[in-house]
Amino acid sequence: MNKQAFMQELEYRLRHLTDEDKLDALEYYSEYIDDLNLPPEGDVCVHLGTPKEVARQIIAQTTERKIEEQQEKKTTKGFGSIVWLAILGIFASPIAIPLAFAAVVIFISFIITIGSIVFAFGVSGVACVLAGLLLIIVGFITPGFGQKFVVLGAGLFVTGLGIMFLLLTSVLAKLMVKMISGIIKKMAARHSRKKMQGGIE
Amino acid sequence: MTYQLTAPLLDACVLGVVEKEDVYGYTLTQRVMDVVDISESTLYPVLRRLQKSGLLETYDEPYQGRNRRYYRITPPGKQQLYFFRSEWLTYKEKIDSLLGITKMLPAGEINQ
Repeated sequence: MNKQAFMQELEYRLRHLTDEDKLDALEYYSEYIDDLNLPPEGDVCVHLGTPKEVARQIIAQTTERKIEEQQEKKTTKGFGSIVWLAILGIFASPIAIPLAFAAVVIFISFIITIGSIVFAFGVSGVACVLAGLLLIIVGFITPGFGQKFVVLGAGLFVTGLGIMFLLLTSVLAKLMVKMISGIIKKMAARHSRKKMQGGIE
Repeated sequence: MTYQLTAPLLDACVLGVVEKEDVYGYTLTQRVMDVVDISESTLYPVLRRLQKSGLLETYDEPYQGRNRRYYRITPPGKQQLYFFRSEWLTYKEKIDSLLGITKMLPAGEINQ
């Protein structure tokens, strides 16, 4: 594969990275290949491996870095792009496409499952708060002193329960983002290390 | 090639080479490859990470009608390198003592 073909494929495989990350990598490899001083049709892959392998290392490292940046800032912003990078990473890994597809499906189902649990907590919270507020209103128009207090009390209790559910939801959501980021980071780290096995001669 | 190179050790090697003089991707790779068994595409992600964490910085210089990107060590990079050096020395001494290598032995005796 000559330089032009190599660079074209590399650019294609890095198309989902940010422009800054992509351009930096492309400039580095363009310069590196020039420095190899190959004949015009010389095979670049002998030196660098295939564009796929090169792209895999870059994507793995970018994913790892993005997660570290996110963890330092302690926000859940950019979580979507990390999940996206992880999916790209799976497709860029050296396994057969059907297997990669299966891995991506499992990964997405996993996120959906955990997301649904968090969502269920959130919905329960909102429902409790609404029901509680309704009970409080009903409490005021209920005839009879005793009944008023029972209904009002129940309303306050359910509202409180709902607020607790909502708090729990936000804690769970943060925990989920942290956990999934952690898993992706471990996967990315394993990928970027794989090519680096070597030693002192 | 018996022993494996870990990521922090590779970071340390790169910082060590760049501290001596500013280098561009190709010469850096050649210099590290002379000593350690890595592939030619190993160092780009390492350089990018070190650059993004502020341990290295880059500048461009024209060379034969194109650009050459040089890497230069930053003050935090030097700090990190000093840390890596002292860590390496401690580690090396401990392993030496486990392997029975002492500084007292003349070179010939170690080879036996």
